[in-house]
Amino acid sequence: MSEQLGETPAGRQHDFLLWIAPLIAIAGFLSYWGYFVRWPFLRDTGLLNLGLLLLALGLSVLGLRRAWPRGLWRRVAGALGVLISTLLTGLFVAYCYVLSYGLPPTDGVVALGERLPEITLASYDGSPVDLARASEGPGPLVLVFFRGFW
Amino acid sequence: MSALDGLNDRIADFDAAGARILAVSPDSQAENRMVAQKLGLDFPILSDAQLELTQALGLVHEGGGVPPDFKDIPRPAVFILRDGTIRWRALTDNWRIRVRPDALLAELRRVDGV
Repeated sequence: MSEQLGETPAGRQHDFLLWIAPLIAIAGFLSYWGYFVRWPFLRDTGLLNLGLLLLALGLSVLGLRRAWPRGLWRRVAGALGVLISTLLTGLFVAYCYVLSYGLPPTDGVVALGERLPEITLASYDGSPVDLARASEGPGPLVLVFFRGFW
Repeated sequence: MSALDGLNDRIADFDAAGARILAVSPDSQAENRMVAQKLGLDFPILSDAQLELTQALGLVHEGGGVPPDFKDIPRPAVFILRDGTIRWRALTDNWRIRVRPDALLAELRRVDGV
């Protein structure tokens, strides 16, 4: 009976959950870095990607429940979907809301009112920039430190 | 990278404020050139491969690089300088979360008003 259900329209609909859930999980995980970081709100909060991952998690659980009476292979596929969705949701939460707070304390950082050291660094075209002199103006200087390309 | 992108999108506003932008990375000149060309940046990226400036300003994030090297890198930080001194600084406590261009432009106006 359970094998036959797989061939009915309702059965196919249930099978749909088995592959759509992990697919949404993978897309929800990767699209944070690949796409949504471009919008400051989505980058800062990660809410859209968290939502996609939780949706995938919910769908995968639903998929597993519906797959359970319908044979061993569907059970395995359902369990795999739950595993993938859980893993990616966990990784995303760990990265966004725990790991990325892992910055050193700010005690040693140069304070307001201080000056830049007499250091000259080269720009990408080879032209030297004297930091102390650049900070003298005429206008204000915006100095942006970033981690570089990786 | 999206942080530099965001600044570059507003370069006209920074020009209007009379401000100059300098980015600093731990990469080589060649790597910085690649990034600048890819993003079409209108401001320089300085190479601080020896972390000379990064160290001097207390910005080293030890082992903050990506696996497997975990190199020392600068923490994300933004400063506004006027007449040679630091007037404003933004040190995020989460490396994903950076100062937005709008907030920076507002600070520039404030610093200039002093």
